[in-house]
Amino acid sequence: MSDSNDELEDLLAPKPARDTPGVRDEILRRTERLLIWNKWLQRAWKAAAVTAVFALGIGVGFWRSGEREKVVFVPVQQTVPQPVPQTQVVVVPVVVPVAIGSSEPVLPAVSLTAGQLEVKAELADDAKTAGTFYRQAGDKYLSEEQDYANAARCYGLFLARGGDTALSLEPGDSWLLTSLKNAAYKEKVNAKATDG
Amino acid sequence: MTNGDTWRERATRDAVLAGDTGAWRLWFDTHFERLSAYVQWRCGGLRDLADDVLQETWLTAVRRLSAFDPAKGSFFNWLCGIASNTARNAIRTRQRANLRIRPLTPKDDVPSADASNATEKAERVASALTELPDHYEAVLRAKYFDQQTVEQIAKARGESLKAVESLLSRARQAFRDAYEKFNV
Repeated sequence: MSDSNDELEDLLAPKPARDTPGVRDEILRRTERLLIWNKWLQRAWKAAAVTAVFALGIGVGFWRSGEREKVVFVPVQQTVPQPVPQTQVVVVPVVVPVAIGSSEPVLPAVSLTAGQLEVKAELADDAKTAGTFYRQAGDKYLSEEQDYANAARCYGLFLARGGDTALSLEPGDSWLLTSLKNAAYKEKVNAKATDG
Repeated sequence: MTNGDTWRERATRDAVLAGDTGAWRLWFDTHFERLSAYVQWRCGGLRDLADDVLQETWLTAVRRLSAFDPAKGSFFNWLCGIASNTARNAIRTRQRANLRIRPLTPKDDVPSADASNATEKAERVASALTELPDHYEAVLRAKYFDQQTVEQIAKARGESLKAVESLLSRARQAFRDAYEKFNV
């Protein structure tokens, strides 16, 4: 057993170091080169991964955007150009019946200013015509010039010349005229009650 | 291995993985001689085989460096593991190649007394170590290569003296059997 162990000691004893010349440097050089290669390979992989993700993003974006343009072939019928019809305007005289002897005053068709209407009212022969002009002047003051003071004055003159019939409300009355009519009516009723 | 060693080896590993050749050179210089001696022992003193195994071990270490975990063991032990596997593969390849060689004449079959006897012995040692399980190889390495006492081995392995002596005895017997097996 002892001899056997001695033989084992001999067989398994550490071998004397016998370095082959140049092996150490060669191994170091090769491992360093491999290390540098691995480093660049890692960088290349990272760059490739970034590029792949970028390309994938572009691809997905392009794919998700759908069709932007589509070529559609439409059959075109060859037609002979037709002459464009010319429109001619022909003046035809039309007879319009005109009411004669009407009680309503014939108002001028042209548009007058509120001041002109007021002058016409001053120059009118009868109270009814004057009242009508005053009312139109009031409307003009109210709607075109927003001159409430003159409008109220003209409406007041209209109501003074119109008498009791002028106090009745009409669909075409402005809000100011309606208000003045109501006030005049109440004043009149109130005056009667006080007198009685 | 202390915690400081673990952290130092981890830092070196990370530096080398980041491409720091200076860190690699430091590591290489620290372990080259000892690993070279181990590989020579593992290859039974066959110089050409040891050179091939040593080179392949270092190249494999660079390729698989990311797999090295300092928490599981020291860098040198990791290198020894690679060297052991590399030596095993190289010796088996060498055995297959030897089997394919047939002497031309019966006279050529007789080896010369001086060199071939030593070479044959070295090949048998290397082949016998290849046949051993890892734990047998480890305890024989501690005993004969590192020249540790049984007490030191027991302390390092965290086992009792009896257990280590028993293990050593079984490892020796396994080696002898393997060594005799290759005495063809």
